[in-house]
Amino acid sequence: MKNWEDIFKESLEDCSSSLPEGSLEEFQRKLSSSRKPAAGRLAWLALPAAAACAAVAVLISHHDSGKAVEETPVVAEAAAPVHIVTVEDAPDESEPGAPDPVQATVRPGQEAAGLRSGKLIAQSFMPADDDLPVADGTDTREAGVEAEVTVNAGMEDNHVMPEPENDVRQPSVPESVTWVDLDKMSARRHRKGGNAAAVLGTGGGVLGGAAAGLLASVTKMDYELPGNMVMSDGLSSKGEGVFATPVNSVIRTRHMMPVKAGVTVRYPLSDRFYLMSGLEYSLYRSESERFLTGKEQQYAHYLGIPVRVDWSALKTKHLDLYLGAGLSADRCVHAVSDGSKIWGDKMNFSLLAAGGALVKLNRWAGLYLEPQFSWRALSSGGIETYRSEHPAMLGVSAGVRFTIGE
Amino acid sequence: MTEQQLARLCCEGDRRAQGELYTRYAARLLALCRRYCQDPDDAHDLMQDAVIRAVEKMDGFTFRGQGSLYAWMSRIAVNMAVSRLRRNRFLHISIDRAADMDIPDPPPEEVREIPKEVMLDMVAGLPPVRRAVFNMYCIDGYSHKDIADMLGITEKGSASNLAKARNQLKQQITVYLKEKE
Repeated sequence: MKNWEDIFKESLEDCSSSLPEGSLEEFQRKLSSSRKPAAGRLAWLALPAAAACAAVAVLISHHDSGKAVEETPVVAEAAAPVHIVTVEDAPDESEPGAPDPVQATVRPGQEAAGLRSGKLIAQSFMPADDDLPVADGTDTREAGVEAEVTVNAGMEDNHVMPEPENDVRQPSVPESVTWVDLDKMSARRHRKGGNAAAVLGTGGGVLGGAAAGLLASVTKMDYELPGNMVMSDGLSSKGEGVFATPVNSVIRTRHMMPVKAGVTVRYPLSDRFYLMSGLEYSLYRSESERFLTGKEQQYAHYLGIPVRVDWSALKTKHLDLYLGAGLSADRCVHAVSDGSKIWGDKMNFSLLAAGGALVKLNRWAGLYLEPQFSWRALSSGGIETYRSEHPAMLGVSAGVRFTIGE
Repeated sequence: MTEQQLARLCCEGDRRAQGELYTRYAARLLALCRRYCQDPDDAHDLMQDAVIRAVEKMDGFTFRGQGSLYAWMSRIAVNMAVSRLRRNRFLHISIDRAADMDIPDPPPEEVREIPKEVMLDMVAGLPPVRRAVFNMYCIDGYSHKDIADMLGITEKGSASNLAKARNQLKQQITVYLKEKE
């Protein structure tokens, strides 16, 4: 026998209600207008597409001109005086006076080829004051003493020149002296390039071109900066000498790509569009090498709040593939360098474009994994990290995402 | 025009076929939507949106025999009703004592006398989640598992809401029958 529920079911299952007047016209009007907002829907698609294209354009156009690879700087040892070699033309015996000397700098290993125009008759150096020879007219020729006397223009004529020997003497420069090549001080730069291709893979028609064949240049710069030397300003009191003193500056820096994790929430705006926000943590690690103290590590911890509109390209019971665009604000909350705390920086803003997959654990929560393009709005100052060198960068974020209101 | 022809013409964008589709099925769909919506105007809007959605997705329809087109369209309407309910679910809190009371079943022969419009109003008067559960389980033939998946509740929650809906309807029927006497 049927109960009251069965009677309800029989009565209501296939019953009809009378339509109000003008219902058909209203339906046709709605149907016509429902076709037009395809453009409006495309606007929603255009937003993440535009953000993705902008990120790609900035990423591809981001190009450091770079400087030519140059030689490594020559490191000078400390406090070594520069030797100046005096070369004289062959003296005319009929004129025992000192000919005009020619001074030239001689570098270690350099032959005296450029000095063949004259015979090297003396080696000069800048002795201490008490080492200066006294012009006493002593004729050392017969004594066969090799003259080691300073001969400079402007010395008095009664200074006795030693008899030149037949052989051309090479200037001997003490081994302890290291020459500083002022002309060739430069940085060496080594570039490594790599290509990373990311396929955002849901293949929405508008985003297909931006998603497929995306290339990112990841550039790592190894700098050997010349900052390990400090040159004294000008010459010494004697008019010669350039001194080099090393300081503990950075000679090489390497920034790692960040690691990101987050807890986010999304709220449905329609069947396929969601508003997403939450909290995202990023870790930026850097290694630098200092001239005196060696390697040191820098860790910078960032917390950020992304705000994004996501479009679900594919929704199943357990998986959701999506694309999204929006922006993010983050700030360094803690940074240490070689164990010492360093000052954080101000709020940073970035444009975001992302595509990823959400694996649903249950109706409200899931785990997400998404590659992200971000472009950081330029700002001065702050901690130097990977993002400082690469404002437009590709990263990967993972975490937990809750869905509310669905 | 057969259902297959109607579906094919609607796919091709034939405005007359689309009007014919509306004329054939709108009244029945409206009654279905009245069961899921408290407000008659909301029910009418839901019905029209469901027909528009059916026209847009007509290429996904597969003919499975006579009546399959209406069954397919009614599923679309139910899904849309449930989707709207889930979005607004947190806004509704139901507190009533009758839901937990044990009320005897009204006599079937007396229930048969109740007009369909009154039945529709009784069902529409239920709180949103109970209304949806009752409609989906008792009238549209969904299982508790399907109801739980669609509404975002547990199967136990579905059964609990069904029991409360039944009690509330029984009370309304009893009151109606008493007033009628």
